[in-house]
Amino acid sequence: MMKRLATALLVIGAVAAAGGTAMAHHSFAMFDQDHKAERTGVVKEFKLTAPHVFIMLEIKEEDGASNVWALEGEAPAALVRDGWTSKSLKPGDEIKLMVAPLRSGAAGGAWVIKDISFSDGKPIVVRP
Amino acid sequence: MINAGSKSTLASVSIAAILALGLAVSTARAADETKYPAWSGYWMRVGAGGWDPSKPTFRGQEPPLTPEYHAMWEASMAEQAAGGQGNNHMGWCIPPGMPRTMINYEGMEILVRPNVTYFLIIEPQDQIRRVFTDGRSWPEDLMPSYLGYSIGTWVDEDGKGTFDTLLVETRGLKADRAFETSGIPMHKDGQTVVKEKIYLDKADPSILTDEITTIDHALTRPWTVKRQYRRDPKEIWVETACAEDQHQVKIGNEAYYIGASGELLPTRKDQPPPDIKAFGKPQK
Repeated sequence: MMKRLATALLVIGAVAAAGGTAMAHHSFAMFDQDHKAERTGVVKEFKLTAPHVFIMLEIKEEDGASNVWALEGEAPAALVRDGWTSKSLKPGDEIKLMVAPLRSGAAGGAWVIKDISFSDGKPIVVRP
Repeated sequence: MINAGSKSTLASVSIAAILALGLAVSTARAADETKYPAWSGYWMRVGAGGWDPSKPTFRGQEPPLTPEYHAMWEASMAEQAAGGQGNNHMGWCIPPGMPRTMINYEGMEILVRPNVTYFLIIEPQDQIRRVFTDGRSWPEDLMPSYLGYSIGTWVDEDGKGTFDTLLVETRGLKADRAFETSGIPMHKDGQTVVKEKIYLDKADPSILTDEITTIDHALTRPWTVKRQYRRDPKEIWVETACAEDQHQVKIGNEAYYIGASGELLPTRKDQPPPDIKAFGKPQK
């Protein structure tokens, strides 16, 4: 009984950690939610599109090389409800966000609304 | 002989009769529509996106699957853990179908008409679900579809003289469906029947409840869940076309990912590249 409860709590925790993407139209299991890390970079493109929004972010790696990462967010309706528009981010913006990386190690990952801001800490969307 | 004055009177009487008839039809239609509940507005789901919102997601769902289909579910989750989509074909923008579409991931509108009720659902692709309430019988030959064919009956459960509950049965469903993202499967025989009881909360009319019972040969018993939706006064409708910027790609049995520059990325370590033996060959 206690073991099942503990397992259930772990699952609930995993879902909470994944934010709004754990149960979306596609599985997010390809992203490693257990090894999320804060990444900082320069926006190359912001796509408020279906089925999920994307930020193409140029990140400078530890070895000094730069890679453009494909960072997948939530459904566009979720961002619009939160006050985002297609102009909330533009090329050249410097941002920081928590990224759950692709398990393969390739330049891709997932993020959620609650874990993103401009690199100076200012919110992307100013809510009333 | 009909003179000009008679003609004018006849025309006036005709016009008045037509107007009166039109008014009567309009009044009757308006009175007819007041018999139905007020289900208009922007409905957002309450609870998580797992099929049974009262339980934890993934294995916490404890679906009543037969051993054969439980093994299929475990295989689906294992494939997802390895970077794929498993039995979640919605990951490739295949429509969720019934009953999964009633999870209502990102917003729903309901239009009630005397002969049909429409459910307009956003995610992952703008969909129109029709529930026919005109008393029709089941067609002899149902062409399988993801949303199925739905016939409903309005009920006045509280006896107040207006309809408050919609009972729905859906048949004619395609076999290629899952209950939710983890890929809880339905039987390949495509014989699923879904029954629903939909009603507003008596205490809070901003809450709509859908008691959904799925009868399927992959299950050991009918599986009933209660899903709820909250009417949000802030209506936000976002056009959703799943294929617009889909980054999940399936080639053969492997799931890949489209990177920032359109390149193909692996979704797990040591994933083999796709088979490209057809490329680079001289054209016949």
